[in-house]
Amino acid sequence: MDNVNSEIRNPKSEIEKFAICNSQFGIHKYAVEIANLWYAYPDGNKALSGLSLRITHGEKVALIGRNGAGKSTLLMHLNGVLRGNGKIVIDGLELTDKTVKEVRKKVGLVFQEPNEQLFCPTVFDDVAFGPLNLRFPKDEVRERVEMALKLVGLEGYEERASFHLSIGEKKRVAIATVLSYSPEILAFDEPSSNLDPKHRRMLINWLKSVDKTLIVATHDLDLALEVCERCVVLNNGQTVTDGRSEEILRDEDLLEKNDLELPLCLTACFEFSQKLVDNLS
Amino acid sequence: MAKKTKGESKSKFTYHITRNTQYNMNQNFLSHLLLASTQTKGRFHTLDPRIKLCAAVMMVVAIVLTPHDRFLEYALFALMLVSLLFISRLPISAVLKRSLLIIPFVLVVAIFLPFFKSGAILWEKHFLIHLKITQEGIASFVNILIKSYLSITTLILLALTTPFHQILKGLSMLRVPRLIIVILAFMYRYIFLLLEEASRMLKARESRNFGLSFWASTVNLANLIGVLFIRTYERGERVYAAMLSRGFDGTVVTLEDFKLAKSELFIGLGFAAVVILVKFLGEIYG
Repeated sequence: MDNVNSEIRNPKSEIEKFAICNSQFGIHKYAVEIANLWYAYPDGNKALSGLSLRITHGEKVALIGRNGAGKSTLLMHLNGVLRGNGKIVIDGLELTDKTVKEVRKKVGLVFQEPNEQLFCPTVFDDVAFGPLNLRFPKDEVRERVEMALKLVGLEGYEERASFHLSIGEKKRVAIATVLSYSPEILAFDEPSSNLDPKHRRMLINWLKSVDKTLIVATHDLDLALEVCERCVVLNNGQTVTDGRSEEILRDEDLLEKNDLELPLCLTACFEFSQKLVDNLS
Repeated sequence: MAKKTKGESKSKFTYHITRNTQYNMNQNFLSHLLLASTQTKGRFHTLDPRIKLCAAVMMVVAIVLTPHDRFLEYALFALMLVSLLFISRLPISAVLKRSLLIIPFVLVVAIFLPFFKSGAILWEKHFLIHLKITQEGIASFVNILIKSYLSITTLILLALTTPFHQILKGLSMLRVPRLIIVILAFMYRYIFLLLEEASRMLKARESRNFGLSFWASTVNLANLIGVLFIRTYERGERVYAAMLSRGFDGTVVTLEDFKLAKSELFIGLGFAAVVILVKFLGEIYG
């Protein structure tokens, strides 16, 4: 499975070259390394069946696939919330019972439903939850909360109750709760769902500007195209295709086979060029 | 509209019931819970929550420990509450409305007291069973009513002048066990979602309800409650996953950053002195 995967992938991308270079200086080659991961939910539903995936540092990867393809389940494995059979190595650290706390420091997971991510009485408590659990000193916790809220553009929201916020604000606070302990890898589950166009645009711009390893599970293929240089198509708990977003998201047959479709911007683009060709001929 | 089938009128009836309860549930409950956190005016809002908590607990204990024949003491406590109410500048009608909430609970608990307490018999009747009402029974019934009303008014004053998260912080600084505080915090955090979810489900049911009979709609309601329970349970699992993924390891760590000003301490001591004075006056003149 491993070999197949590395063959499918564009083998010597710029980033991978950089990663190999880094590994010679003792920096781990891959941010995320998953080999032959199996997981079934307690009700017997097989979510992941032998999935393998490697992600280098600084890469922005979109996980796409139909509902129930295993995207969210995969994300939940990245920081050990779910534990399937298989090998998961995060930044050179294999995920075991002993290392799970270390791994959680490295991976920030933003859930799809902000109401489940925000469980404290005030925004401050929620954003401070991660840093406090990592036992940062009190002053640093305050600094970090301030920094995280500033990053998502919600300064001065500390004392607000999280259930009084709008869904867009909730989503942004949810991102801040993860940013506050500065993980190296950010994993998002449907970051743009339920967002209005303006806030979706803000989110996309922000995701583009982030200089961390980014893993985004999404149905928003326009977002995937715009933010991520790499795209992994999942189906039945396995990787179907793995490659550059521009190529995968342009492949109409492949996308349709996996219950997806061309990103809207490309559809419009193709239609326009078709019209242009027709007019010219 | 003159001719109505039986089923139709019944379903209309149930529709009204569900819609009204749903409406009331959301409006009353939410406004009750929200008032504290949205209201920023008033004098006690900036006071340290520990002072307010201690004062409220002291007041309640003092009220509960009053012997049942000292009406002067009750009157003085009521006077204290009224003056606190005026000082706090809370909307009086809001406080009174909320304070009436306790009456049904007290009635359920205490309604049988006049019949069962032994003492001087005021009224009795033999019909299948021996029914009697005693003077002592009525006295203790009135006593419980007054005590619970005064206590609940104290707590309402506390709740309306202190945002809930501040109460929680105050409690945790007063060394109340973490587990209890966390349970309270989660309850307060998710009760809104639960209500929202319930009302969404009720709306979804109503929008597809084409004249269910009363019985069928009751069965349906029971199913709905069951589904709500399962959803809540599963949400709990997901929330726990979210907590785990941010490094939660079973111990709750918080920042505690209240500083007790001297003037606030004096306010607390002053309040305690007044309570003791009332007790003292009750002892002498009661």
